[in-house]
Amino acid sequence: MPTGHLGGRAAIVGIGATEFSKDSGRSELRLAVEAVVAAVADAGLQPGDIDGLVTYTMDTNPETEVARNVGIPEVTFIARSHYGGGGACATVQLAAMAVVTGAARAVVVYRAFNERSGRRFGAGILPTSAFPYKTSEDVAAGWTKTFGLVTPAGRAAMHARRYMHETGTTTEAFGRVAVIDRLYAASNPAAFYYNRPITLEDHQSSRWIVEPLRLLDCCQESDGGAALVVTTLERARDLPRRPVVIKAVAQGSAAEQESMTSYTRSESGLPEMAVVARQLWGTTGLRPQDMQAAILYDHFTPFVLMQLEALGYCKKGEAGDFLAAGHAGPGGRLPINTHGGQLGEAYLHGINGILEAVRQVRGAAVNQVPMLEHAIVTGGTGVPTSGMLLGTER
Amino acid sequence: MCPVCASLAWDYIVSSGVGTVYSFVVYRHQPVNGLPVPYTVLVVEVDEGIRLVGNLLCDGTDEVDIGRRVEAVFASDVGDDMVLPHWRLVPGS
Repeated sequence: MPTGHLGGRAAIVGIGATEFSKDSGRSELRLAVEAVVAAVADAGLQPGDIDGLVTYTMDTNPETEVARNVGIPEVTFIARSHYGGGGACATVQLAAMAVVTGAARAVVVYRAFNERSGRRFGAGILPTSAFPYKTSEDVAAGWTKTFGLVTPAGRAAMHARRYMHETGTTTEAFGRVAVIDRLYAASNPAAFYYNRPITLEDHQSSRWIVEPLRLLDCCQESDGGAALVVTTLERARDLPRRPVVIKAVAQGSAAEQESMTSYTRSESGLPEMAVVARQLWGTTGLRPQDMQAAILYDHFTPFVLMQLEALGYCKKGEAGDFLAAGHAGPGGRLPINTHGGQLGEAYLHGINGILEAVRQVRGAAVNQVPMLEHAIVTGGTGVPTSGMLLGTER
Repeated sequence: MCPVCASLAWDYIVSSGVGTVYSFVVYRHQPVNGLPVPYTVLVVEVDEGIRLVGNLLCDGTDEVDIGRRVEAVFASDVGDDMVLPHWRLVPGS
């Protein structure tokens, strides 16, 4: 292990989640604390053993309230990663840095919200009396998120159209991602779309949302909470669960990066994920083909294709062929989103994908990949992003 | 700030108002901001080299494609005190 890197020095030792729904019937804070309690118990720890709290932006649950409700007493580390789902794996990086440096002994990472029942549609851009335009971020949005380009689907569609133009990729390739996600969700009782697989024909006949994205290219909105516990690998060995080792974890933001609107920069696609990939492979000696599963952030299907390319699974423009060949489905060389992804299980800004990778490494996933040693997980794309490699201790 | 020389003495240049479609989307589903669907949003690379977000005038939605030439037109469709640039296809491009 190269020195100066976190790889192999910390582990995920506990996971927990609520049910995933469209209307949880309870507060976001209650979802958060239910998930945290479950994760701490799964780790074989008590709330009093936790001294660090990490979440990511767009979460409404204050660390103080989570700690007070759960019974976490003294806290020595609090941090949040930015850019919503882009920071999903960055939360684990923050937690690992904290435990490896001694800033905390055991850190809980959480995310919970009533995304669906809370009806946040349009909240990303429209000013309100409580939050009028006033920051430099708002001014930038005045150039990039205007003229009706006010939804994440629209911004993703703008990237997708350019990608189709440059690579010749068709919308059928996007549909194959949705079909895989829904296939795995169909056999995952925790998934919102349990027992409801779709066909490519279903995808192709679903209505346009923002051309070239159809309904089945866009992930659902969900209510729910999820949490995980990180500590040092040394301490993890004394806990009941087999440690899920954080082999590498990294963030990435590319030159001329914007948040969802990077189509004004010179390079198309997801160069920020290539920044992540260089760190993941470069610090571990692991290669793309050493992963037996991939949990790729799938808020919109086209970004899954671009991630396969940025991570080194295929050359630019070849992800459609990779999917058509069946490599990303059951029995393929790189099954993706084995929990059903965010299209199929729940859209919790990626944290439920981290939990799935943990289950895969434990050998306890409902759609378990045989003989799995390593899995890759990514954070949200189109924004500054993050990713990590998880694996068994060897 | 200029990312090359750190100058804060930035200024503007006047564009010719002509450019090429870099990418585009067509909103079909849910109206937002009072805009009736369908409407088309473009990223236009103007001939001076920068890319701008803007709307295509609706009658061009079925013909637009990446690489088509567009030109700016100005309209005060969001109130008397605000004039916004929109885009229309250059015929025959």
